[in-house]
Amino acid sequence: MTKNNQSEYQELLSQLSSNKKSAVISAIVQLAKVANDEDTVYKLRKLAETADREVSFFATQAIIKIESRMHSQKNETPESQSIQFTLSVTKLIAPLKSEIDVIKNFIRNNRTSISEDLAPAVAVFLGKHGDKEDIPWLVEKLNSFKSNLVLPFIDALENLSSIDLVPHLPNLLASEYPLVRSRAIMALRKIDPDEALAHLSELLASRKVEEKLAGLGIAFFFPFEQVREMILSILQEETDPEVIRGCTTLLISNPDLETAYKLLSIIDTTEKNKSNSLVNVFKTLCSALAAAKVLPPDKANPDSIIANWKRERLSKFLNELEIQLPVASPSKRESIENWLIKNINIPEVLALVEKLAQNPNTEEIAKKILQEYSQQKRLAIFAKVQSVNTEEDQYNLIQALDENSFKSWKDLIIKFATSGSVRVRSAAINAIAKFEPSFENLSIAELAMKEDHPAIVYSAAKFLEKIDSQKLIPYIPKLLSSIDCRLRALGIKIARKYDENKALQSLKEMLFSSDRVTRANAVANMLLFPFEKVSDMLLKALEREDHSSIARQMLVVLLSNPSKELLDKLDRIHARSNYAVSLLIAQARMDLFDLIISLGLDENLTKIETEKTKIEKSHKKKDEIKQNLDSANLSANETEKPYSIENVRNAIRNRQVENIKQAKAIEKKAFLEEWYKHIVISFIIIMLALSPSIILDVIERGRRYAISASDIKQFKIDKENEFAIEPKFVQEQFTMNEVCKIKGKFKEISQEGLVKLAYATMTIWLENVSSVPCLIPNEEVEVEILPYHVYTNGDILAKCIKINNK
Amino acid sequence: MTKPADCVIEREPPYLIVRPKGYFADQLGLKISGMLFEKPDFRDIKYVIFDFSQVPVVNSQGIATLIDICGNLVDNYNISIGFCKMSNLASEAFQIAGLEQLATFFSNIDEAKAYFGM
Repeated sequence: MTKNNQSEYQELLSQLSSNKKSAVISAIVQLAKVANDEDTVYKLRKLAETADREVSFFATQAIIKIESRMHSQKNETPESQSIQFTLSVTKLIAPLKSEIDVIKNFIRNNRTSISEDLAPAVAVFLGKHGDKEDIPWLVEKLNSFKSNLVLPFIDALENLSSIDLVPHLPNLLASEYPLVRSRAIMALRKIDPDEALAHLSELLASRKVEEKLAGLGIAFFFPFEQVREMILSILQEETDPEVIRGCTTLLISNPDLETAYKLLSIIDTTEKNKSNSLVNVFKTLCSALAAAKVLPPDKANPDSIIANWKRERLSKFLNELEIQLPVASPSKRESIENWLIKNINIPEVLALVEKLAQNPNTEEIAKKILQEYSQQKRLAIFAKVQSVNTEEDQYNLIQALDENSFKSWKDLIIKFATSGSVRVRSAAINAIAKFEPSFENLSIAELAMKEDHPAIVYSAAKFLEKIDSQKLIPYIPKLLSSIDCRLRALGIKIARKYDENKALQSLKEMLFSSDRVTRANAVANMLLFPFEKVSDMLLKALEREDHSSIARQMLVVLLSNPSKELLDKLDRIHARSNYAVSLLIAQARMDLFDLIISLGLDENLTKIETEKTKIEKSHKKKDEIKQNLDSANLSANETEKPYSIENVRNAIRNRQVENIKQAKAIEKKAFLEEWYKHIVISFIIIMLALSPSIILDVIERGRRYAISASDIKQFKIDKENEFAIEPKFVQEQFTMNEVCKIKGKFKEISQEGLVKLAYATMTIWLENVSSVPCLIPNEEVEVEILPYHVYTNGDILAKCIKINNK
Repeated sequence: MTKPADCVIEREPPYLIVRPKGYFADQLGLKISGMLFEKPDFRDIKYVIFDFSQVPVVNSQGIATLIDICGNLVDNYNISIGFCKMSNLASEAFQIAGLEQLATFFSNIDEAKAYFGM
């Protein structure tokens, strides 16, 4: 194994422990093809035992393939199967030659009883050994698996009959599983390479890391010139180490000097925290250039390449800086500033900085750089005060002025502003505008406005604008028709205030100019116009824009005015001129969609086609596609393609909208459940708080019917009732509510004077007893009583009619 | 349906903290302009800090009114302006529109206050 291959192999092994499932599965699939050692098998076995069904399946598949390879290398045959046939993953993935027909027949005869667990392995088998007869089963199963386990079915169908896969591509391309999407793109690439590239662009443009990784995995199969710009665009913003590693691998697998130059352009202008990783990519690329013998080893080292780059690319690079600087983030701007200061001694760089000082968008940063640069020069200039005769000296004097020194040199500066070379006059007018913008100096500016040279006119116009912009109204035609873009931009600004239609026309001319700086200035002005007046113009310009920074500016203007109508229009844009721009447009679509949803701008973003109508449409096109496939030249109208990027995009958006609705419904349900819980808990707490009083109340009611010693009062004979009862008939046995004669034992007398008698198993309390003092405890007595009440404890209360002791 | 846009203004002399909320279009810009300039009260106020943390998007008309507001504050009241907590999109749009010439950008209000000197 070569050194490169070894490091790639180690990288695959390290990817097995990634927290991104698609990266793990991708590594497993690749290891299945190249691995040949027990250690790898051991690592894969651990993955095969995980609870994740997809990872487990692919790991098992890989183990079987690797072990089969290892066995054949050792001239061993795999363990012979038992005579009695049973279907297993091992047999399906690595069948013996003698078993193939047996397994095939078994599968065909038992299609309906194949378990879901075995189905993917069956697909792997049929992909290698099946034929057209198996296609219906594969198609049926393709629709039932929604996870990465659908991959073997895609492989199988593609091998057996790719035409039968086409109707299912839209669903597969819209899958929420990145690996499924990427696999579908690979299948599409054979039918329609342009459309496949558009899908790849969408995948790489995703904000989700796993989708990017899936895209990088298949980017190898596309022409490198088409994907390079996308990769470089990703590298400028990416921070995920796995994505950076994927991009690096792709670049060094296609070592190219042009790539190295483009990387250098990016490195110097990117933010500090990202430039280190890009430097590493650059160094690795240099090694690859030497290894692939694209350059001789002495010329493939980084220093040599940088020197060449500087020579060839400097002017182009400086133009790029001028466009990027106004819209760079603060940290990126700082990097650019530091680079300019470091290289200010190069004449071309100094010229650029002076040009930047004339552009309102960049004059602050340019002046800061010039101040740093002229620190030393300032001292030298004031040392040779007498010799300001040459244009260079005059210019340097003006550049070195500050507020205090201006007062000393004012007369001379005014003289320069009225008569001097173009460069000196322009600088002098700027200095007066900066240090003494007063009405008394207005005549200097008005005089300069009559000049032809744009630099002088521009300085004068800025001066007038600062004093009173209405002074510029008479000059609007001159400004708008100027060849200088800054003058036209200023003219637009003033004209918009006073004549909008003319301003729009000028803006259109700037926007479609062949000069990039002019276009960049136009976009900045468009942001201030009412969007509905410039949107169509902007979209047309975007479609033909080939510079990614300018395209980004246009997209910012568009995204700042989100609407459903704009999304529809953006969907129809296809920028084929530059793949980096295509990537930016794809990202902007996704961002715009997310913005529309988050702002609630439109609740019905897309109409959901039913599965039936989709498949019906795709089946109608199947015959047409089949004819074209035979000639390997599909030229169907884009709008008729079921797998077109527009259809797939709508499917993905539909799914996202549904997911958001479901998430909201679940959230609402959870909220209500939480409320119910609170109500129930509150109820329980209240009940618990009140329960002691309830229980006490119940106990209290029971006590009213019980007699205790404390309730017994002092004995008193109730003589009033002594002869109240005159029974007419006496029962011989105890009978409630009737006079009866019984014999019982005297027990005691209560404090209330009730006599307690024990009779059989009963206790009888007698009231109205007259001869109490004659009774002895346990003495047997004969009584005539009228029992009329039963206590809760079972005791009887009776009126005593007669009592006789023996 | 879009959520209603609104604005809260807090006086913390010498700062005025302006907190717009929602989609920043011309209506919100005009509302803020009204709140600031209909009955202007900039006594003891030297700095105005805009907190864009609850503004996902500033559209073209919104930027135009923002430029008018900032221009008015700087030219007529000699007030320094800070912008903070912009979304990435708003930050890019402000840079393109040249708002950096009128206001200084910060990541949060404390940083703005530290910069302005308190």
